Amino acid sequence: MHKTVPAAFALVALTACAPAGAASRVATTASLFASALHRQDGSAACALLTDAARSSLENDSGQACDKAVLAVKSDPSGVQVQVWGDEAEARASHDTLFLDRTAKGWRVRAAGCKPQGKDVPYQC
Amino acid sequence: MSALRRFVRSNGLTLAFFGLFLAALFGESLTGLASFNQQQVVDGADTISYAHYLVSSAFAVDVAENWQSEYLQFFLYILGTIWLVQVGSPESKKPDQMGRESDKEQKVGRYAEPDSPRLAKVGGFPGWVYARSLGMLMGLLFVLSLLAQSVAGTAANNAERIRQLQLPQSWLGYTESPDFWNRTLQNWQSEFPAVASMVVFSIYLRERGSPESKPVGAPHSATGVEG
Repeated sequence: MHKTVPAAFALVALTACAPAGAASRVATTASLFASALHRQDGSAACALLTDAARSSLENDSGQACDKAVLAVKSDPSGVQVQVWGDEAEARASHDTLFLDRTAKGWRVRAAGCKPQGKDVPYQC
Repeated sequence: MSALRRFVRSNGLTLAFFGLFLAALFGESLTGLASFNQQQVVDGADTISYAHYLVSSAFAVDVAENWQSEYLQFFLYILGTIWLVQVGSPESKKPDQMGRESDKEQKVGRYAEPDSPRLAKVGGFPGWVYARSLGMLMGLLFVLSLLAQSVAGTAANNAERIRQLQLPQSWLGYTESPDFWNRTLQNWQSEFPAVASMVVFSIYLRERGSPESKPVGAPHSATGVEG
């Protein structure tokens, strides 16, 4: 998991290939995730992570998810959402979230991601 | 003989290949789903259902990339055999028949026969279009399949990019990408030697009873003779 997270998600840009409902649900998940971090509600934030992200966070930090996730910094700013199939990215001014569509709905796979250059994976 | 049996007997070639197509497509969908879900497990993501996979861009791009290359093959073969010949091949015209040929040879306009298609008799623009309609349709199907490949490929590639923590790219960006051209060229490269080898092998080898072959006893030098 990652150390900074965009917190406010005011703008939602829908791509031509993404149903409006999917982009809206992605933005909602991202917004709920940021709100949970603002309230210092680690349990709520962890509930919005994918299983793999939760395991990774716990393994990397050596703490329970609801404690470790609170170290993530939030970064309030506008966000643009793109949904492609079962994957989505929510890009804010300073940070980017990557989300997966799961059986429980959209869940955060990576947060606080920073660009590293064209075609280079984001550092999260 | 019943009407159904007569229909099947009269259209067996089309029906057999359409049936093979459906069976192969079904097999591709099953194995494609299994492969897709294997990767989902590796990536720590949820697996998807068969119905979900059938409408996914991953399945669509895999289907479309093969369709476009097949229609390109037939489009080029139909047009190429108008002007290019291979002496000795039943797939080729005789060298003195190269080109569009005369109206008399093609039975169009005033040379049309009573049972010729109506558009072969009328001439003018409709007749001109009809005289090129097979190549046009194959070319159109190639373009549409290539377009479908590019659109589905953009979606599938963008999902993959996001999974790898990269930003998505535009349709135009995808059509300039290595993924698009690698998928395209690996299909094209397999089509052309298949055609070339069929043309050359049929000079010397025979398949008794097949119209794609010369009669078994026909000389190797015989061109444009089908058995």
